[in-house]
Amino acid sequence: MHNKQRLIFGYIALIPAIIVFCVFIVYPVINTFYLSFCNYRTQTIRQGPQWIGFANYAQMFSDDKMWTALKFTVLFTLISVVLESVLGMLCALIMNRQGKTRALVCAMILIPWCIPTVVSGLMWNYIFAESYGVLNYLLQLTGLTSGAVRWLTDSNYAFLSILISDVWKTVPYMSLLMLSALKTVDASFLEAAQIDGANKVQSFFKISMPCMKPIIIVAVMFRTIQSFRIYDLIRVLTNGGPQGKTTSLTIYTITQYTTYGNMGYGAALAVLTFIISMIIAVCFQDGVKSKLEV
Amino acid sequence: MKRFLSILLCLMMVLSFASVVHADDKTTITFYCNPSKNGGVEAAVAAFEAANPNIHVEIVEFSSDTNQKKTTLSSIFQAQDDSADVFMMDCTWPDEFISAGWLLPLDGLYTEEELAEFIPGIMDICFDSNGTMYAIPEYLNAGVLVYRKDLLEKYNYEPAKTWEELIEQCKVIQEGEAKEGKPLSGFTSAWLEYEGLTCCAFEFMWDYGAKFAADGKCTLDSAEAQQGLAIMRRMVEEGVTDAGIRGYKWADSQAIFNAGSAIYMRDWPSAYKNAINPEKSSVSDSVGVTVLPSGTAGSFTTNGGWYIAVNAFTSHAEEAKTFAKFICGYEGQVAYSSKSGDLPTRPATYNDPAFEGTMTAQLYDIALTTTSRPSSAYYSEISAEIYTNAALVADGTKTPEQATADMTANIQAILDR
Amino acid sequence: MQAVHSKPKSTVVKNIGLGVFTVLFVLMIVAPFLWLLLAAFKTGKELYSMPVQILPSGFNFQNFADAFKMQPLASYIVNSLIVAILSTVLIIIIASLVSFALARTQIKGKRLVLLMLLSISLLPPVTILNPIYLMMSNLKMMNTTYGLALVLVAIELPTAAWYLMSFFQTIPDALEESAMIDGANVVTIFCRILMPLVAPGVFTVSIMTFIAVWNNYLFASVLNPSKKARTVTVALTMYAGETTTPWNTIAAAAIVSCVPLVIMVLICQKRIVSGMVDGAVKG
Repeated sequence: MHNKQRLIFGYIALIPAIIVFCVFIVYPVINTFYLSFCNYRTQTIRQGPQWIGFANYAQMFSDDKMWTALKFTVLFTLISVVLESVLGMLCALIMNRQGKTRALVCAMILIPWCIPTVVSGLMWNYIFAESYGVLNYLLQLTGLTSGAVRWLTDSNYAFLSILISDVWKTVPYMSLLMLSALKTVDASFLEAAQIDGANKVQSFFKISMPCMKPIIIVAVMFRTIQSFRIYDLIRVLTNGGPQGKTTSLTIYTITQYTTYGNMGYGAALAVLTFIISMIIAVCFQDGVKSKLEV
Repeated sequence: MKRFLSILLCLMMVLSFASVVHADDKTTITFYCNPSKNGGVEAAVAAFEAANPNIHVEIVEFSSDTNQKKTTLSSIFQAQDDSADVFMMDCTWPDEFISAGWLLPLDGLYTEEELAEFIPGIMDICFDSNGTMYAIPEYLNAGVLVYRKDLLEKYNYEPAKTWEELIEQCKVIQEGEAKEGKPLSGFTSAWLEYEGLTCCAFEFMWDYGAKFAADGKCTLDSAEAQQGLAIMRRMVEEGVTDAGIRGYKWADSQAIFNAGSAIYMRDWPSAYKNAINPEKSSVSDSVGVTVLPSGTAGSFTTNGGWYIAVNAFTSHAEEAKTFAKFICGYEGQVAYSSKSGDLPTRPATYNDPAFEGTMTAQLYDIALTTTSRPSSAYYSEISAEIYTNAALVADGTKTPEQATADMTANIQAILDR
Repeated sequence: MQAVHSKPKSTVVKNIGLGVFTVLFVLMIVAPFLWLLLAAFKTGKELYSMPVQILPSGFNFQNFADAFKMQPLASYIVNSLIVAILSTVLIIIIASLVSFALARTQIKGKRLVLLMLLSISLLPPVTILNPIYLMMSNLKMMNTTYGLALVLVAIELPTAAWYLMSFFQTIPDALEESAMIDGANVVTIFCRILMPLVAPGVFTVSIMTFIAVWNNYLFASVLNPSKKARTVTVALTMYAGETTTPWNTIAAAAIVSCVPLVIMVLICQKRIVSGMVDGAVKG
C-alpha cells in the first residue's frame, strides 16, 4: 500500500520540474543541435538556416583557434577545480571548528561570492593593472619583483591572473558546500573512531570522507562543468588575449555566435561543449549511480 | 509553506497590475540608446516630445559593453520583435544588420539638400550598395592627440606633427625627465587586443598611404601598411609607449595620462574632457589637444560615431522615422551634444551658441576629417584579424611584412564569402 | 598511543599554525574586497595616482551620491530582490519534490530525469537565449520581474535539485520506516519528517540559488532591458561609458548592491551552521 502511494507521489513530484524543463529547455536545446548542422549567419538570416550536414563540425576540427581554446579550457578546468576543492575543504574545516574565529571567517569568506562576476572582473582588472595596479605596486615595494609584472598581457601571467580571480570568487561557494557536507557526518561515528585510537587525519579520510562523498561528488562535478564554461571573468580581464591564449571554449563560442553572427558554427561549438560536459558528468558516474541506488 | 505560497501569489498579482500600461491616445515608441551622459538623451527626447505632443518616447539604455548591446539587439531582431522601435547603432554594425534585413529603409526621409547638411565623410555607412538609406549619423567620435603643454614648453617643442617627430620628442623628454628623477612614458593609447587596437592600427596604416581594399580585393599587403605597423613596433621597441599599453582599453590609457605619467595620448574627445577636469586629472591645467600626427600620406582619424536606425519590425514606422529624423536634426543634436559632450554630425551646429567656447567648437576641424573603418557585413571578423596581427607586430613576434601578408590572406577569405 | 606525551605541545603548535593560516586566508579573501571599498571613497584623481595611493584622502561619499544620481539604484535593488526571492522559493519547492522522488522512491526513469536536468546546465546559455527571448516576447513577459524569475527558475533548477538530492540521500531510511509504521502517509512524511531533516541543506542551497539568481547578467540584461524592470547586476555595468570607466562610482554602486546580500548571508550564516549541527545530531 505504502509503496504504491509512495511511487505515485514520486511521479507527481516530478511533474513541476518536467514542465519547467519542457517549456524552457527542450525547444532551445533541440534548436541548438539543429542549427549546428546548418549554415546560419546573421548576414544571411533572411534565407533561414540551410542544412549543410557535418560541415560545421569538419570546420571545427580543423580550426586551430578551437584547439587552442579547448586546450586552455581543459588545463584551466583541471587546475582550478583541484585548487578550489582543496582550498574549499580547508576553509570548511576552519569554519567547522568551534571557536571565536569561526563567525568572522564565515562572514568574511562569503563576501567574494556576493559580488557579481562582472564587477569582480572589473575589480581584478584594476588590481592587476600593470602601471597603476596595487598588486604590482606592493610587489615592487616589498622588492619581490624588480619590474612591473605583465599580469594581463603576458600569456603565462594572464593564465595565473584568471586563476587567482576565479579561485577568489569560487572558494567560498565550495567551502559552504563542503561545510554542509561536513555537517552530515554523524558525530557519534567520529567519537567512536577516536576512542578506537584513530587520529584526526585518519578519521577524516576513513569516516568523514565516505559520509560526505555524495555531496562532494556533486559539488566537484558542478564546479568542473561551470569551470569548463568560464566566460565573464575572461571577457573582462583579458578578452581572450594575448593572441587568443586565454580564450576559453565559451568565449570562442560566443565570439562566433554574437560578435561574428555565425550562429551555425557557434551552435556546433556549443554542442561540443555540451558533449564534453556530458562526458565529465559520466566520469562522475559514481555520484550518479549512488543516487540511483536507494 | 502555505503562507509562503499566498505571499507569492499576492506578489505576482501586484506585479502584474503594476505592469499594465495605462491607456491614452498617445503613441509610445521605444528608443534603445547608450547609457545617457549628463542627460543628453533625455534632453533631446524632451525637445522631441514638446514638438510632437502625440508621441511619447520611452528610453531604454543599453549596458555599456558593446558586445552586450549587440546581443540585446540581435535577440530582439531574431524574435522579429517590435520592442525597440528606434535604436543607436555602432558605426561598424550597419552592414551586418542591413544584410540581415533588420533595418527599415529610410527612403524619402531626406532630400538631397538635407543630406548635404551632414558631414560628408561619415555618410557612406548610412547606405547599402544599392544606395538605399538605412541609418542616420547621430554623433561622432574622432581620434585626437592629447598632450602635456607644460612638458612640451619646457623642452621647447610644438605638438608633434608627424609620428617620427613624436618619437623623437618623447625620447628627449623622457631622458630629460628621467635625469631629474621623474621617469615617465612617452605615449599611451588602447592597444589591448580589441576594437580599440583596430582603430589605432588602421590610423597608422592609413597615415602611410595604405588602402584597405579595391574592387573586392584586400590591398593591405602593401609597403604602406607595413610602414604604418612598423611605426607601432618602433614606438614599443624604443620605449616610447607606456609599458602596459598592450593591456589597455581607453579608460586605462586615460588613467595613465591623467596621473601625469605620459606625454602624449591618442584617445577620443571625451578623454580630453576628463584630462582637463581637475577632479579626475592631476595635470588638468597643462593639457592640450590637437590633430593626430601624420605619416607620409597625411593624418587620418577613425570615425567612431553612433548612428540611428529604425527596427524593420516596428509597428510604428512613421512615428519612429519622425523621431529618428528629429534626434539627428539640428535641434535634436544640439540638445543632445550640448549635454553629452559628443560631437554633432552637422557642421552648422558647431556655430550654435550652445557650443560657444566649448571643446566641441574647438574640435570642429577634426570632426570634419574622420575616415570610416571598412564596411562589410563580416566586419567583426576583419577587425579581429587586424588587431591580432597588429598586436603581434607591436610585440615583435611578427615582422610587419609577415603580419600584412597574414591579415590580407585571412581577410580576403572573409571578403570572398 | 605513543603520542600521549607530546600531545599538549603539538596541540599548541597546531593551534598557532592554524591561527596563522586562518589569518592569512581571511586576509587574502578580504584584501581585494577592501580595495574595492577603498576605491568607493576615492576621487577620480586618487583612483589612478602613481605611485599607488592606498588610502583615500577622506570619507568622500560623493561616489555613492553619484551612483544613486546616475541610476535609480534603489528601485533596481527592489527588482533584484523580487526576482531572486520569487525564483528561489519556486526553485526550492520544485527541487525538493524532484530530489525526494529521485533519492527516496523507486520510480522508473530516474537516470533519464537526472541527465535531462543536468543537460540544462551543459549548454552555454547564450545559445538558448534567442529561443527563450522569442518565447518571452510572445508571452508578453518581457520586462517583468516574474517573467525573468521564471526563466531563471529553469536555469538554476538543476544545480539546486542535484545538491538537494545529495542531502536527501544522507538521511537514514530507519527514520522514515518508523514513521510509516506509525501510519503516516507519504505526504506527511515528506513535509513533517524529511523536510526538517534536510533543512540545513535547504538553507545552503537557497543561499546559493539566491546569489546565483541575483548575479545573473545575461538573461537579466536581455529580457529586462527597461528601467522599470532592470536588475541591479545589469545596472552595475551601465556606469561605464564607451571610452570611460568611472571605477569609483562603480565600486560605490557595487558596495551598495552587495549590502542586501551580505546582510542576508550574515543573518543566515548562524542559522546555516547551527541548523546543521542540530540536524546532524538528530540524524
